[in-house]
Amino acid sequence: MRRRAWAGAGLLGFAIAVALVARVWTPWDAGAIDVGHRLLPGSIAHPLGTDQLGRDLLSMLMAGAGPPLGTAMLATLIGALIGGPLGLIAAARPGLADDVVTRTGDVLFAFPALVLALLLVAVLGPGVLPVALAVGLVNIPVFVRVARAAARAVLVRDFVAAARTAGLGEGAVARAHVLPNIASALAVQAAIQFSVGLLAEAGLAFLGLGAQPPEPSWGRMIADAQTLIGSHPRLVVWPGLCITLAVLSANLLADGLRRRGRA
Amino acid sequence: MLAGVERGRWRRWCLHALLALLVGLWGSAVGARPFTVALQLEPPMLDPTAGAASAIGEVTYRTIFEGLTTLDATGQAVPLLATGWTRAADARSYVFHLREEVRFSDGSAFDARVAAWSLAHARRPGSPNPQAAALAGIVGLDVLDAHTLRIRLSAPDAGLPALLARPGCVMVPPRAAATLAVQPIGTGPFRFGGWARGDRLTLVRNDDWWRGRAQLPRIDFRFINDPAAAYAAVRTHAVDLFPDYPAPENLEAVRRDPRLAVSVAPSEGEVILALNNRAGPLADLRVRRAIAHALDRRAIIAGAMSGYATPIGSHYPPQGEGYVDLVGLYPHDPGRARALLTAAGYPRGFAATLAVPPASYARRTGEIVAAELAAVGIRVTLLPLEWPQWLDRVFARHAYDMTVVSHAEAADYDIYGRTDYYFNYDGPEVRALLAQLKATTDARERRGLLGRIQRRIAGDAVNAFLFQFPHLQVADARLRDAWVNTPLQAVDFGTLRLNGRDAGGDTGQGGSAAAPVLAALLLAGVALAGLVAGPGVLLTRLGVLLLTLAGASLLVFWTTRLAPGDPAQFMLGMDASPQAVTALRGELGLGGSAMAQYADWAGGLLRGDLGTSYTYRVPVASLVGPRLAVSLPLAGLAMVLAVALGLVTAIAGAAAGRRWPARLLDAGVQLGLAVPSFWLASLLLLLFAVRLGWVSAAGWPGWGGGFGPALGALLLPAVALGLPQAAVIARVAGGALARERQRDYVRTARASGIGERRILRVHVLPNALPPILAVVGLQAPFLLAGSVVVETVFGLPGLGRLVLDAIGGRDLLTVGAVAMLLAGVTVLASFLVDLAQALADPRVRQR
Repeated sequence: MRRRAWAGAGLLGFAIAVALVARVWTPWDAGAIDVGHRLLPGSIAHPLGTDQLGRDLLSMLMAGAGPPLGTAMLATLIGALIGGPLGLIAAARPGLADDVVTRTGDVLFAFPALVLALLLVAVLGPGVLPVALAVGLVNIPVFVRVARAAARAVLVRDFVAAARTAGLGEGAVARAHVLPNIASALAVQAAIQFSVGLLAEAGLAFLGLGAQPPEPSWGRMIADAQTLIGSHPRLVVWPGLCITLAVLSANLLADGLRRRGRA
Repeated sequence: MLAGVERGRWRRWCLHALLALLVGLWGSAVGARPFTVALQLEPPMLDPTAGAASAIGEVTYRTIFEGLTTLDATGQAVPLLATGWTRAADARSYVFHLREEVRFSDGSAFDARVAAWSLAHARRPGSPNPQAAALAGIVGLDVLDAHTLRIRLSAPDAGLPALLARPGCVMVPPRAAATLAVQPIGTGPFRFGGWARGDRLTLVRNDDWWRGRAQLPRIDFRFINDPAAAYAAVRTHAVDLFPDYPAPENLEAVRRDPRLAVSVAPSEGEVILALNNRAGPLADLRVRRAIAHALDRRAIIAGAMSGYATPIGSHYPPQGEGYVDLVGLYPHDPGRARALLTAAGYPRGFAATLAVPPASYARRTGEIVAAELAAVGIRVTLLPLEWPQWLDRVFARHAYDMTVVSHAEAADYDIYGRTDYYFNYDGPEVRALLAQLKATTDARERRGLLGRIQRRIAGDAVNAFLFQFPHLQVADARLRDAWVNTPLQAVDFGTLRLNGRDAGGDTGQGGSAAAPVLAALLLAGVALAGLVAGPGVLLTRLGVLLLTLAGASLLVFWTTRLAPGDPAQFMLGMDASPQAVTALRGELGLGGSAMAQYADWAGGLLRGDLGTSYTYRVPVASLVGPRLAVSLPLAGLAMVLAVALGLVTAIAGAAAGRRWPARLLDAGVQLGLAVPSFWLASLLLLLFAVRLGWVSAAGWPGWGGGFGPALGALLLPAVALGLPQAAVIARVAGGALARERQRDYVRTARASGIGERRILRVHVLPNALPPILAVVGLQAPFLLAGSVVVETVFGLPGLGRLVLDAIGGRDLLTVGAVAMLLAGVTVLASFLVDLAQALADPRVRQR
């Protein structure tokens, strides 16, 4: 249903817009610590109240959108831009290239994604970029598999054989015929990996391995406020809600794209 | 084969029986819990004479080990294994009179010869003993008779009795000294009773203690540093005593519980903003004073410790002898700070980094300090580090500008006399005063000198002195005589009493004898499958499996070698000498070429030897076993819940067709896919454990404590882990069901008049199951590893936490071994799924 795709894209677009706006403006400075005004309830000045160090919760939510969305986007791009072509090559050249690519993918797939991300972050240290790289690395074999499977299905089609007979080289065939036809499969996978990346970043940020203070991030906000969940649950509920809505919108987008592709 | 209808009835009966069994197990009796103490940090090993980690003393000092003296609440040395001592007039020799009739828990006798041996052993060259340098002043240990020891010093030292009270100077039995790290044997009121790494450590009463019998027959130490898990543990009364509760922001809520007693007591810990006195602008006294004026201690205490701390003005705790209140020396005055910075030549401030170790007090203090310094123009970048990195960068290499840390040792002001200490402070006046202090025995003179030392340190603004770290103790309200003032960071368990509570229990450790049986079953199954599917298929799949594992091992080895931070430095702690660190590195096999190390490691893996953990010094396999006993049942339970819920949802959705229940279920599935599992875990914990008290959030009671409690501890985490998984399965199952329903034979069945429900149950579902089960099989390893965040929230000692802790502790060997284990499980799972598909689908076999 197209409605899903639009709903998902709309929500996601809204979230990205908020994250971009937050880079230049938030109602309060998201990092402004004001211990004298900690844990205030909602008011006109602070619509969602303040956190345990006096920072405005609404501003932190706005600014905290940056790391998860940015990480997911970067990780998806890394996966698609590296994995896609690799999968294509593997499909177009069955033989050694195909074997090498598939086996390497198998090795990466052998690790549950979180373990691989933890390993990489242990080496690179915590931060937005290392997490994005780690999740991107985990994304690559996924895109390789999808691109390879989709490309193989296309490459055996008649019009490709016709193009080859007409004298088109491998590269031209790939560009003109294969890519457009696997694009929708890749787009769907991109939306799926985007939502996976959001959850992965949130989890790693919760463990303290994502964006570092004073840069806010939804996952870390939940971790920081965990001990206050009994007295001030809104500090945990709001960031979690934001993560859920963002992932939901990405999933809706993926759903909508998939159904459109099928129809 | 049972016909469709009978199969349904049989299935229903099984389901009812299973439910009844679960309910019954739930209600099964809960055994009496032994006396449980929670500590924040787990010791790396158990020999206080071989390492400086304070956690070692917290567990073993005055429980297993005792020294000649100990410190009382005011920090004065009092007799313990020595009944008294006399000091020569020139303070260069002491004669200690030792207690008679004292034995070690292995039966060997304690006498002056053993005492001399212990001290000589502690001060030997290259010793990792944290007091080795301080004991270097001993030039002679003379055994005058069986219970009299004379100690001769190279220079007068009035502080010898206090030095002998430190955990590094405890008395050890010569015969057992080499294995004390894992088999501690001492003279104290308790014996070592077992240690499940990452979970609990058990001490058992020593009935031959020279002072009689301690009241507690057994003590279990649990290690909880996560503030949320700590809160859950005390609120659900899983812990009797928490001497250093890590979540001050919760204390108000804890206080309101009438069954708990909260006490706030001073400690010897000073939290400081340490300044690298040689780093650029910080070398200027005016700049350091400006920093002191820029800080508002009250705000820091309010924000970082929720008000539970006392401000300090110098490196000295308020309850120490000769304390001088210097808090008012640099009052909070941003204007003054800016003026000083301008005078020093920084009218627009400057940029600096602030290294922050992983403790929550340090992180919060760092954030507030950064904000306060920014207000006067000093632009601070926060640099969060794990402890091994902190020890390496800040402590060893002095590669930092500022850092926030708590100095927990008593009377550690002597660090201001060392020019090589990480402050890089060169203070000749302080050095002279310290030398004088060492030689002074008169109490009034000492107080005067200590006052002058404090003033000098504060006057030179060596660091910014923030607050005294409190002992936030949460205990069962019925506890008596829990010694609150602890200059030596240890609780006096020998005199601990508990009113009206039965502190019973015997040791119960969970084991996994199931592993060999499972392995045998697996092998038999694979062999059978190979016979049916054909040797070609089996061999190809096996080949892929082995190749993948080899590649994975290379990846793991390469990654763990690249991780920065030195495990040896981390293990030996802040006070270790460089020689000790080098010696340990050699012992751990950290020298040598990459190829040699890889060959060693990989060869060991093939033999089943996962290596020896750096931090715990035991085989990794023995660490992994108990963790699997938590993670496997958790993953299994989560998978069962996920499959049950997912299938039910998918079937209901399929049966509902296009009506509104299907939409609702679909929305539910979407939500389940989008919710982060750790958020769900926190919310579930809040609702069911804390608010309603239906389930315990007590961490892990172990399988030895009863099936019911163990399962109860796993239930909430399994729900948190399984719910998102259920959504995935509902998704896949829904798709498979939908696809199956479009097949021709279903249309035929419908045309011949068979009802929709029956078609679904009898035809569609069984045929749609194989792809569903394939997905389930592939998801299982992800549950095993992905539980790390859920384990963090619930404080479960599982595999995920092991990896996380090992990464933090730079225990690269354990990280690699567990990563390989998980990779092995994943690869094995996909191999089995492949094989199963080959068995089920004849077409696959011919490929």
